[in-house]
This record gives sequence, C-alpha cells and structure tokens, in this order.
Amino acid sequence: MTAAAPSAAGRQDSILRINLRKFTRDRLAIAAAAGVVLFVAMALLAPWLAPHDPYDTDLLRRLQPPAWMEGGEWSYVFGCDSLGRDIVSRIIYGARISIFIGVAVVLLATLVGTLAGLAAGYLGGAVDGVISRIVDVLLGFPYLIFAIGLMGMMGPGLQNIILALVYKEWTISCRVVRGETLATRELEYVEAARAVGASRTHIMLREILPNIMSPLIVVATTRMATIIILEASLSFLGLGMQPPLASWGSMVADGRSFLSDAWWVGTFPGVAIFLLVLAINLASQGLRDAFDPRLRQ
Amino acid sequence: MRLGFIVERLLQLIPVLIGISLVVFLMMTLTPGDPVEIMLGDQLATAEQKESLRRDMGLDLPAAERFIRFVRNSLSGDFGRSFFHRRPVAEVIAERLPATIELTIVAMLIALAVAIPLGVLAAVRRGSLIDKAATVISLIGVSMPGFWLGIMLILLFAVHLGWMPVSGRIDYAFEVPRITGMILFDSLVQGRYAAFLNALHHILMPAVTLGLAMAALLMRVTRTSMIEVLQQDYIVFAEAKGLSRARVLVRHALKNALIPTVTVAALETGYLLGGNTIVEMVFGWPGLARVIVEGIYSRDFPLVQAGVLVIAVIYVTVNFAADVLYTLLNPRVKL
Amino acid sequence: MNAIPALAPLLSIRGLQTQFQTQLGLVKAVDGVDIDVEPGECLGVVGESGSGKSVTFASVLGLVRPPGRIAAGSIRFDGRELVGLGRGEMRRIRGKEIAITLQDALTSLNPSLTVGAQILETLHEHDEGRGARGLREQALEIMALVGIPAPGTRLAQYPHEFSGGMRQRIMLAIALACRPRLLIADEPTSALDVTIQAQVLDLLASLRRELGMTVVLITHDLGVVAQYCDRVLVMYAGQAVEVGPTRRVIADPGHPYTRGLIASIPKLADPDFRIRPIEGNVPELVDLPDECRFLGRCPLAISACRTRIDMRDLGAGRQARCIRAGERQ
Repeated sequence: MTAAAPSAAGRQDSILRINLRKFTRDRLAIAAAAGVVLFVAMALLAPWLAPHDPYDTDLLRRLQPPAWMEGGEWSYVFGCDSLGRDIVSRIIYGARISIFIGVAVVLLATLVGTLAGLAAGYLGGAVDGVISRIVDVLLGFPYLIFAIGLMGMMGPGLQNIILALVYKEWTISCRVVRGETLATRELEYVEAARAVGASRTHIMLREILPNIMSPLIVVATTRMATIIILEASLSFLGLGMQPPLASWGSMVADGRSFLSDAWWVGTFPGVAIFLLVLAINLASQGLRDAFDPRLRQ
Repeated sequence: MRLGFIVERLLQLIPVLIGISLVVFLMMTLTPGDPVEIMLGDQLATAEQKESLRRDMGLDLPAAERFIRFVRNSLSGDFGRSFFHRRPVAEVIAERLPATIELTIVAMLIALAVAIPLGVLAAVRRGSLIDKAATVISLIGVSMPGFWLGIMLILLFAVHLGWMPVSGRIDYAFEVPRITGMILFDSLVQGRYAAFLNALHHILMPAVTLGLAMAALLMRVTRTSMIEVLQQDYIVFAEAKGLSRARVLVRHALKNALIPTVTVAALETGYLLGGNTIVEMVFGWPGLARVIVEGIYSRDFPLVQAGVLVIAVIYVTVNFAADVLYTLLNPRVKL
Repeated sequence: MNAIPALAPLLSIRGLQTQFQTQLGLVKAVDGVDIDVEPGECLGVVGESGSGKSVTFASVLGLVRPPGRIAAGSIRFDGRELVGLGRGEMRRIRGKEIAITLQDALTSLNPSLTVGAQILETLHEHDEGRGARGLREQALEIMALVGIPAPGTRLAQYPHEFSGGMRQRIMLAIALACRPRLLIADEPTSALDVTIQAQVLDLLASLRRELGMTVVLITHDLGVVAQYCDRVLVMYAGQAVEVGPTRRVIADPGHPYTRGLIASIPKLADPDFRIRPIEGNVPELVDLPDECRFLGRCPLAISACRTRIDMRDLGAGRQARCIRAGERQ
C-alpha cells in the first residue's frame, strides 16, 4: 500500500526545499530572520546575558535614568524602573515570556486547528457542520475582548494566557487547513490512496497534510507576531503575566505611571516588542512571497 | 433573489448569535468564586440573606434554565445589575457604548483616509521608492503594539509638547446636550462648533493609535487590489478612449479596487473593537471596552458578561451588513 | 510597383522597435516594423500570438506600459508624428482619431459601470461643443448603429447582462462613438462563437463602408483576412515578413511562413484535407542573432539564410522577408 501511494511526502519535500531556497535569496527577509534568531538566543541565554538580577530591587536606584543621561550609569544602560530594577536585564528576561508564549500558543493552536481542519475538510458532513459552527461563533468575538473575558474568568498566569489565546487561535489554522483540504481531497494521489484502501487517518495525515504544509507554515509564522502583541496587551492591562515577572507588556504598563518623570521605564520594553514583532513580520512576509506563487508579482 | 439572499444570511446569523451567548454565559458561569460573595463584597450578610439573594439572581436553577433565562433577559435588554456601579447594567452600557462607537468610527475613517491614497500611489508607482517606503511603513504600522504607541504619543504630544490633551473626550467647560451620545455628532448637529473642535482635539490621538495598524492593513489590501485592477483590459480600454489619467484611475480603477478594501475594513472591525480596550485604557476614554476591563478588575460579572456580549453582537452585525453590502454593491455577483 | 497609392498613407510606421525589459533580458516584441495603412482600406494583420501584431498597434496609441517602451522608430498619423507625443495630445487622438477594440469585450468593459456611462464618457471626453444634440442621443444613435435592440433600456445595464456578441457590439459602439478615422480591431472575434463571429465581422464591414473608416483588423485567422481585408500584412517573431494585396498573397505566398499559415486553414470543401500545422515554435525574442527568424522551422532553409534578411520587393505592391522569395513558383 505504501508503494501504491508513495509520493505525497517526497513531492512536498522538494517543493518545500525550492521554496526555502527562494526565501534565502530575499536579503531583507534573511536579515529579519537573523533578528528573530538573535531574540531567541537572548531569551535562551538570559541568565548569562543579563547584567543584573531582573528581580533585584534597589530603592536607591529608583527611576535611575539611562546611562547617557545625567545620573545614569553604564552598568544600567537603560536605567531602572520604579523599584530600582535594571531595565536591560528585565527586557532580556522578558524575551523569554514573549517568545515562549508566542511559540507555545502557535504550536498548540496549529496542532488543534490542523486536526480539526483536516477532520472538517476531509470527513465533511456532521463533523464539518459542528466544527464550522464552533469556528463561526468564535470568530464572532473580537480577539482581544475574548481573551480579556477569558482571562477575567480564569485569572492571570502563564498557563491561562496560553489557554485563553489557544481557545480562539486554533480557528485560524483550522480555516486554512479546512480550505486546503477541500481543495486537495479530490486530487489524483488522494484518490489513488483511497482506491488502494488506505485508512482515512492515513490519507489525512500522510497524503493531505504534507501537501498543505507550505500555507500552514506561512500562517503560523505570521500569527506568531500577532500572538506576541496580544500577550503583551493582556499583560499591559494587568490580566496577563503578574509582577514581579518581567513581561514586556507589564513593563510598559508600569512605565505609564511615570511618563512625565521617567520615560525610559515604558519606552524600552515597547521598543523590544516592536523590534521582535517587526522582525517576525518581515521574515514571514519573505516566507509568504517565497511560498505562495499567487502573491508573487 | 436579493431579498432571499439577505433573509438567508440573517437565518445563518441566528445559530452564531446563540453560540455567542452560550460562550459568554459559560465564560461567566465557569468562573470560580461565588457571585453572591463577590456582590456582597465587604458587607456582612446572614446565611438567609445570601440564600435569598442567590434565589433572586436565579443561581439555584439548573444551568440550562439559567442560560435560557440569560438569553431571554438579554433580548429584552435586561442584563441585571452591576455589582460595582450599583445600577442596571443596561444603563451603564447605554451610557458608555456611544463613546466606543464614536472612537471606532473615527479610527476607521482615519485608517481609510491614510490607506486609500497611499495604497493607490504605491500601486501606480509600483516598485518605486514611494512603493517601497509605503510597504515599510505599513509593516511598521502592524508591528507597533497599540498600547505602546499610545503612550509614546502621549509622551511626545501631550507631556513634552503640550499640544494634545492627555485623556478624556472633551474639556469639562463644554456642555453638549446628549442626542446620540457621540459628542462629535451631537455637537455638530447642534451647532456647537467650539465643542466639536475640542472633542476632535481629544479624539485625535486615541483614534490614530487605534487606526494605525488598520491603516497599514488596508493600505496593503488597496495596493494589491489596485495593482490587480490596473492590469485589467478595461483599464487599457479606458485609456484607449482618450480619458485622462485621473479619470481612468478614479472612475475605472479605484471604484473596482475599493471593493476588497471596504470588505476587509468591515470584516476587521472586530480588530478595532478589541483594540478599543487598550486605547480606552491608555487615553482614559470613557467607553464600553474600558468598562469591561474595569469590570474584570472589580469582578463585576454581569457587566463584563453584557459588555462582551454587546460587542460581539455589534461585530457580527457589522460583518453581516458588510457581506450584504458587498453583494448588493457589486453588480458582478450573481445570486 | 504598379499600385501607386493615390494619397499619402493615413498611418505610416517606420522602423518601429518596441521592447520589454524582463528578467530574461530585453524582449524585442516589435523589431523594426514598417507598415503603411492607406486611407479607406482594410488592412489585415496576421500572426501567431507573440508575433508582435498587438504590441505594434498598442504602440500606435501609446498604450505600451512599462517595462515596455518604444525604443526607436516613427509612427505618423495623417502626417503627424505620434512617437514622443505629449500625454495630453495623445489623449486627443485616442478614441477620437484612432480607436481600438480589444480581444475580449467581457474583460475590456468595466464591470461596475453601466454600458451607457462607458459610452457617454468617451463622447464627453471628446465633446468640443459638437452640435446641440445631447450626448445621450448620440449614444443611442451609435448603439442603434451597431445593432443593439432597445438601446434606451440597455444603456442602463451592466456589461455582464449582455451576451458575448452584444458585448462585442458595445465595445465597437464605444470605439466608434466619436467617429474615428482609423479603427484598430484587435482580434474582434476570437472570443466569440463561430456564428456570432460572422455577424460581428459583417457589421464591421458595413460600418466601414457607412462611415468611410480605415480599418486595421488584427487576427490570427487568415480566413477572416481573406474575406474582409484589401491587403494583408503577415508578422512573425516581431517582424513583418510579408505584405501585399490579400488575393495575391493567398494565391501565391512569398514567404514560407505565410505558406504554412495558408496550409493550416481547414478547407471544408476538401474532405481529404488534413490540417498541416507548422512544425516547431516561435523563437524567444531575446538575444536573437542576425538571421532569418523562421530558420528553425523553414523547409526551404539554406546556409545563406544565416544573415540579416530584409524585406524584398516582389512587385505588384508585394514584399516578403525571404531570400528565396523570387525563385519559387
């Protein structure tokens, strides 16, 4: 049976490789991808990179300005927050939260959404009906409002943020996968696999899934940027990560209270979010250009 | 035919609305903590008083029955009493909703006003410096977290330059009798131009903050669809008729290119409604989204429940309207 | 030359080079084309797609867009140079002096404007206080002229509400709205059913007589040319390869490519006839060497064909781009 329906994985493999080669020719996208890698490295190596303990408060350094301003010190480059904690160290540690949540939410949501989308698209009928109705209902909520409501119900915390975002996020990959599955299910090699009696699970996971990887990867990377902003927004509203954890969103919220005396407290964490999200967006745009011939000019 | 289509879409709306109410209901029902305790707060109450309160709120009923009651009450505009504001939730919502709608509309108008000319320019001068700059600007726009952008605007234009007010909808000195609750509209129709200008001054920064990412998105949509339209035969034919460049671009190209822009704008209204939570918090904008967030802080469940429901229903309705409008406006769609 | 034109040509193209800068290199879509269109005649321009026939006449109206451009040559209309003409002056010629209809009326008419609006805007654009009659009446008149029944009600309809043949008539109405002196009809029938094709072509022929128009009929169908055109110009790979009075060219083609085209027309009268398509493909128009472009497909090729080949005069108003043109029967 494997001999009768062999080629889906192999074919897709080569398409992926061609696409990746196209991607590597896009210099801006490569630079952006390098930026993302840099942020990831910063997150992983935080304990070694951070000059200070991000939780170490020092009231004598309360709202100490950045190094280049009067009263600043070079060992506290971006200054200190209202509890005298080193902002650089907190930004470095904050990368861990943003990236971890981004990756975790996208992976979980893509997993759930892919399975649901495959089932809806391939099995059709009542399964499709139920899944599509659930997706419709969830799409009826503005994302942030939905997440805020859920966070209000479940309370703050890492696990709850991930859950609150996944509850809605899976609908995105579900819709993409469902659409692609519908387009793919009648193609010859799927028919061939069906003809030789391959099981439905086999067809969905081994024949269809490898063929829809490209759009799935593109969507997943694009969504990562959105998720990071959403997490930061929840934390900014005080509904996400709780103090003293260094989340970029809550750091900006903290800085908001000292806007007129200590602009640096809120500014630098925001720059970090912006740069990471921009890098992800640029890289994913490069991926999209390379992967989706319909969007290429 | 067309009427049939509208009715069909309306019928499709019903299960979605029921689903939304169910999700909102479950959200609050599954929340840990006893609503009665939360409602009473620090007040001392006997076990009997608590029991009677529980009965009044229907908390002793089975979940299915509570859900039906919730839907029925919501339909009649009865969302219960706010724990925190100590008055009917419907009143609080009616008071705050216009501010949110006003902000959303102005943000959308700003987004369209920026996105359409830039998108058209980028498409017409495709591959030029303007096009590349527009692409970069739009990427920056979607990558900028709204709350941070808002704070940076306040820092620059309110704190340092003093050009803009830090928060609020209008200065206290102005009094605008309420008609719709949307101050810009109310002041304008009543001829209170000074109040209108003051309100405009207040809404500018929040609306820009809210609309920037939308502008970026719509610019890309406009550019893409404009490029596609400009390659159509009917553009060549329009040029061959001897029409002026401006006429070809506006009358022949833009009219067709804007269909996707307007559709996406309507479909992404939810993005603005969600973004309202952030912007209303940052700019102290007395809207519904802010009330929801504050309701969560104060564990004011009836208010949060009703607020989320109202916003979801608005969103679904706008999408429905966009869908119908798209079909009616586009003569090519055959029903 | 025994057919000396009595008048100066209405349109005179000399050495036209229209090129497209692409990723593959510089594509010479039109490479040194000379064409004269005499007043009042119907000139058929034939060739396969990619032969440069449409680009040639898009160049006439300045409709070639970047990355394409006119690199060299001259296009004179009624003695006036069109290459390098300012945008405003070109606009006064488009639609008013020279009009064009495109291949597919469905995609060439704006889907979101009514047919009336699309006719009226042309009239409006070129309206220089001509007569006191309303523009709407002129629009109705032109619609009746191209044979659209009930023009009053149809003015308010959208293009998708018309049949294919009717849409082609509407495009013709728009093109003829300002009574141009030269009409370029680019593949007017290839998107239509065979029965409708004949109707549209007959209409075109009668309108030409009625309005005294000069017509350039671009087509890939030599049969259409044989029936409707006074003269024919054959294009191949960006060059004109043969020109002459239609009857003589068909009776005795001077270029092997023309011969191939004629051989590929199905002859209904002959049951044993088998269509003989020309072997091979049109060359890529990038970096072409100085040699006959038909070389790779030509049954008569000799080593002397590997040099630059120019048009040769065959007498009787005929020319062909073939060094062996004179020697054959």
